[in-house]
Amino acid sequence: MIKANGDANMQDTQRLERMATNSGGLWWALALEIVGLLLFVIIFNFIFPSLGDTLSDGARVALGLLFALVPALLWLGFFYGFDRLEPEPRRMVIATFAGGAILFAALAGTLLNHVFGVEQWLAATWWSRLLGGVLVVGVIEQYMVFLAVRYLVFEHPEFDERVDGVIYAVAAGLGVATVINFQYVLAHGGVDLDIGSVRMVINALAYASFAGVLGYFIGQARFERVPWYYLPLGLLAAATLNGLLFFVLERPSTGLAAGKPWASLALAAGVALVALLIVFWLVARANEETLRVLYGAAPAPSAPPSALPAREHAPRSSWFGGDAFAGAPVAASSTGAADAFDLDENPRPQQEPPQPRLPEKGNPKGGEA
Amino acid sequence: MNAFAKAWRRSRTSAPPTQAEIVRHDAILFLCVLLMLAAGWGVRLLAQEDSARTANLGTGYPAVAYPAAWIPALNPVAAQDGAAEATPLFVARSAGAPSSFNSTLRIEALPVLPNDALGALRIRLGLQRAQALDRYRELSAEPVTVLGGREALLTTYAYLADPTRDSGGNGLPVVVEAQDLLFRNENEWLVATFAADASHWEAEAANIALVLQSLDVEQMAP
Repeated sequence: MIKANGDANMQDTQRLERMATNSGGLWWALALEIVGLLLFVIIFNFIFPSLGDTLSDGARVALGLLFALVPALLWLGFFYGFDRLEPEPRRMVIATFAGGAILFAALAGTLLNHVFGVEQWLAATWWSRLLGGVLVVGVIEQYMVFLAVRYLVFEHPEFDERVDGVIYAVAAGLGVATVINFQYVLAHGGVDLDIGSVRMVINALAYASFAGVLGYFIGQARFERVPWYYLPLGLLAAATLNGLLFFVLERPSTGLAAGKPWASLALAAGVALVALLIVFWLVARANEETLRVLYGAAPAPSAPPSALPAREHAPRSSWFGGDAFAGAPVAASSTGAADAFDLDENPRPQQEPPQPRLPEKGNPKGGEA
Repeated sequence: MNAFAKAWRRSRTSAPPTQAEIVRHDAILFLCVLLMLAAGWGVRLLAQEDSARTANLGTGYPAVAYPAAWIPALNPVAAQDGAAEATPLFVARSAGAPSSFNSTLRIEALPVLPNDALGALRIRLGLQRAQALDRYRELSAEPVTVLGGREALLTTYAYLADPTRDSGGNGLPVVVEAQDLLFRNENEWLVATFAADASHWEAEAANIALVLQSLDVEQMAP
């Protein structure tokens, strides 16, 4: 458990400062990620455009399914790097990935195709594509992500930082994207994907990013007392982005269905990249929250200068160079007593003792001492 | 906006929720998901009401409905798949079909030959298609009426198509199931063909019904 003062606090402070200021590594990771994905697309479009011609049907589908995993694994590695100074156990990340995939394959397909019958009406008009994409497709898919995170890792002791919400949700979102890509490969008979390889890359990025947005809200809800509408707001935000992607990709006049894929794919890539930037910002914000609470909980007056969480020692918290503590009343929050969201319906006593920031490993109750 | 601002406000403490609060949030989220899905169901109902379009075949032709989600071809070309040789009056294809074979509605007008009849047209079309379509097989033929009592014939057949190879890919061939509705319209035959991946035929039932209902197709009394 993180202690409110002393050496342990210093070590955690330094660790979190490193986590919150790793800006250079992020851009390098992003550059490498994009190079890897470009290679993936080039392989299918230029180097082996007819790869499947030399394979049997079974081998072609098996290889196609394997390749459907590639974009998801590349993005999973990238997002996993967000947490590289205290990485989550791989088995839990993989379990969440598999959980998202299984939930989506088992429940979402049934709900979307057999209960809502989306194939019959979703593409009927522009507004049905947009509203149905958000309220049906987006909500169902993102709720699968929530369920995977909520019931696989949410109360696990390893879920010990706000940013873990993003990491695990991204893993679940990539599970969803992988199933969607599997279905795409199966529908197109194997590995001669051509334009499909681009779509698979965008799918993986988009679903990872949308889930990352939801994951931020999940992480906050894990460590903060949030208002009742907080998680629904997060789900709606992610579902809206999800629906926008669907709306862009399935435009009948200029979309993939009309055989004019590039404009739609470019727009979809734009939506996905905007979502990715939002996730960057939210990750920075989550780390900033963690640091803010840590500084707020530290005994500033008695600590040595190097460990003081004083205003002038506050790190840059954002990958974009923002100052985490600009205007933030660090000293004023040092009691740690103020309610996180000023919950009117459930006010907290002003003299409540400081709450530890992180839950102790093995204490799933979120650090409640 | 006040509520949103409050939700978005940076926290100043780490005050983890109690187990009861977590359960309460789960329940609230579940209810909100149900509400959003209920709204989505409303969108579905509205969209279904607005899901049909009418094919513009020109004057003197009946109005034929087709699913609004389908994409009408801007410049229909002569059939390559064994349908009649004339340029079709109208062609529309499904968007985002789960199969590599896009479900298709094609409406064609054929000349009436001397002493022509529905039975002769059925044989003529069958021969054409047997030559042009791989593994063509007529499954059934049913006399029906259209447009308030006109005699018509509804034939069902199947064949093999290879849509991914046609487009340069290497997917599996598709068994296509199709129906021809043959009837006379003034001085020509009209052939309305509905074709879909046989494994998705049931899923296309609503679209087939939409087309047939617009032509007032009814089984002929025995």
